[in-house]
Amino acid sequence: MTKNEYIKKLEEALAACDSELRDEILSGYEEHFKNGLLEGKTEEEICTELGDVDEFISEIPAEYNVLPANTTTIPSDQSDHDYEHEFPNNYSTDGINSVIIESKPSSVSSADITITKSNDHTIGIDGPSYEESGFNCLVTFENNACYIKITNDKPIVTSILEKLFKHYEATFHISIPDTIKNVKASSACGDMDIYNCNVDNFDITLGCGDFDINNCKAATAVFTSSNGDGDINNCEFTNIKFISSNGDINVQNLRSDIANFITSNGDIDFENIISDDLHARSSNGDVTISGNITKITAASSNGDVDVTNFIDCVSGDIKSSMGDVEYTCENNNGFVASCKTSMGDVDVTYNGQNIKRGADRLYHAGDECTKLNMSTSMGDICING
Amino acid sequence: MNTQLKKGALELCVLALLSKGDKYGYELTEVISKEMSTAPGTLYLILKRLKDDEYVDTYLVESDSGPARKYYKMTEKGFSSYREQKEEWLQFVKAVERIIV
Repeated sequence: MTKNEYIKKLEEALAACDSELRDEILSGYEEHFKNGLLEGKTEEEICTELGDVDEFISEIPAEYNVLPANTTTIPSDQSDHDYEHEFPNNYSTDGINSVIIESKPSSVSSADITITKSNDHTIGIDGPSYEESGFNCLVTFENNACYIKITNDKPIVTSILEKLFKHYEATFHISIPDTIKNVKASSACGDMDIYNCNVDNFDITLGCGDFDINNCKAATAVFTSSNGDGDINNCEFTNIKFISSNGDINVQNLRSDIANFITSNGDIDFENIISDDLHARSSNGDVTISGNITKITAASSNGDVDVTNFIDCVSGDIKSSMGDVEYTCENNNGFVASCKTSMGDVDVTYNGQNIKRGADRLYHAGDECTKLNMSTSMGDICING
Repeated sequence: MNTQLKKGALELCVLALLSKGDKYGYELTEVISKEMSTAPGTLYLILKRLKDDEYVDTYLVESDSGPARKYYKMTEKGFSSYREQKEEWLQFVKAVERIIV
């Protein structure tokens, strides 16, 4: 890799990052190149010394990523320990329509967060005491929003030493009533469990941790995780976007008009998804989908892609580079399919009959209701009608 | 080595170096990377955290070559945290030594 390629890659990877940190890192790396070249090293050698960009980026805590413009910043802390530690506590929601959670534990501590539906009209917070855990939880109200800020101010060495000898994990329980329209949370380290919540917007970012989302409803839901798995069960999101860098995504019983799921290094597994427009993409994992889907795009670079659809779909794009691709239509009024593979076999059947490729290089079956586009470089293609 | 332990140790090393005088980012990474294998990026993240926690302050100094350099300077808060962490670390290392040697 040349210097320019390396710096360009770093710049792109840092695009969403806090600008001060980005400038600092970039000028530091530039200096490394400058001095390294003076010492007679090659650009290639310096790149190796500086290490893999992706690996470094995965180390950056989520809180250094710039939040979308519509967030207001959390009011700054008062004095060192002037926090509210008394739990459980309930807060009135008069005039409040958003809950914004920011969890920023030190780099060796982690806080799990559970969000549930509140039984009354208040926001409830429960968690460990400061004395017990070293975690602070600051609650403030501003611009129709309730801000909940979780931090851990113990010096990093203290936290490590404590962690070596006793395993303490903090969990904060936050309950919100249905009157809350927006829930936004960013957590640097820790799992996030969300149960029985009905809101307009979810916007949740985890630096490191798993998602577990059950019985929830929202018009828009955005979930982002750098390192962690995602489980979604019995949910209804009109528009959902789920992005994970390193983790599996498991979905059961989801209804969503427009659904986007992306993971770099994990499997995607969907069971009973009802969607008008579904995109699912994994770079290194398998993608397995079953449900009623009108329009589907499913792709993997290195894994298999397997789709079972219970309705006729308008269009299906099923792609892999290294793996097998398979499409099964359960309620089938036929299809017209393009099947492209460099190294593998193509097997197309309709009602138990083998379909041969037509003169137009497409496979035609029945009323041709479904338009399929199947491709893989190294794997086999299979369509079961 | 356990990455978290390493991170904690690195933070302590950065504080130790800064306690001896102000330094800019590249200088710090040079000194530390001579002793242990660390990507410079990790050090910038530690510096950022130390600044957020008000353990260090920064100021710019014009450089003859290239853009101005950002120097890091330890604050009072940084010094007192450093003394505490150093003490804790030394005790920890002694305890480990007693057991493993």
